[in-house]
Amino acid sequence: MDVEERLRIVERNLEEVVTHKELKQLLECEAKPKAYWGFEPSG
Amino acid sequence: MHIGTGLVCGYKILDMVNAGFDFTILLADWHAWINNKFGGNLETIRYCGEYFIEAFSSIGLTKDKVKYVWASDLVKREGYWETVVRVAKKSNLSRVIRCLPIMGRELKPTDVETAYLFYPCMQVTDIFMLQVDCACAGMDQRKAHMLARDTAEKLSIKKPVCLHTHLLLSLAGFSAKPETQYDEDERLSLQIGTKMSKSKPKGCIFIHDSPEEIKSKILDAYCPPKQADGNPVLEIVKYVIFAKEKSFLVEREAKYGGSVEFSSYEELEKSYVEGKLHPLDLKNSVAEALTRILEPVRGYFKGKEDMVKKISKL
Repeated sequence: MDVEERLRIVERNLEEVVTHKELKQLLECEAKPKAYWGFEPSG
Repeated sequence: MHIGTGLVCGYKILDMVNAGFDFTILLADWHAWINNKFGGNLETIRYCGEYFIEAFSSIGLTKDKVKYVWASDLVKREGYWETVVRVAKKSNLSRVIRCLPIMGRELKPTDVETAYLFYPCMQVTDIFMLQVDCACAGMDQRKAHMLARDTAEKLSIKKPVCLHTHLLLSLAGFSAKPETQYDEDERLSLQIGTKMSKSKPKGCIFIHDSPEEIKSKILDAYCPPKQADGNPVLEIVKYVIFAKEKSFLVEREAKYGGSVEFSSYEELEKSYVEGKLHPLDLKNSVAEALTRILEPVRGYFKGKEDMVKKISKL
């Protein structure tokens, strides 16, 4: 999967990306960048 | 778990895993404790965290695809609390208060536990301790992320890229507009105030709902004809169905125009706004698609019904 395709999948349906340029750079430099999402377990 | 968390957040995480991300789901038990979820009972919160692992696994986020980390383990890592203090030293009180999860509720300082002040500082610290390149959350968490970016700059550490998802609208739509202001931005305030929330079960589709429950809730949902803005049924098509499937089929009798298949959300929205698609036909098709999409969840939880029952009673 090339960078453009990865970028398209990641940004699909997002309301805000801070920033698009930084995300693109990240995907260009890293094959396996680290990401996280925190959830309060609340049922 | 409702579909806003299970499917909107869940599918975005799947997207990121597919795009090559090394993804961590942080089970924020300490944050829930601070935020007085389940009366601040950590044991109950942890049980719910175990359930979250199962719920996310049921949509494909299994332990071989993502890492699950408990906040209660993260806070024990060396340097965690030092970082919390470093973050707090770089942020002024009014900025931290604006990031609080209880922001918007009308409360006097004497009614707020001091522990809340740790919450945003911990969110920022989580990002730094996990050393992530990218932090994801719903739009309601964007302020904590902006705080993380500014603080990273001040501490000369890696600034996270931040990705924010739409908060799926309650089935009641904008009809139940809250008076509370959740954000200075009016549009975002409305989005936060009308989001699908477990505290208002009638406005939620839960990932465990039976096909009958799905159908009856969707049929009762707010769905103004020819209107896309603030229409929860259309939102489900956009953020859930098209996130999973490549097309959306509306089956109709020939006398009502015959069946029609849409290959993009935009195409469907246009048709709906022009009045070429009746709300009832839309609702029936959405209920059917959701039932199909949630089938693997029902399958996964076969034999784990006790857990679902226990969680739904909490």
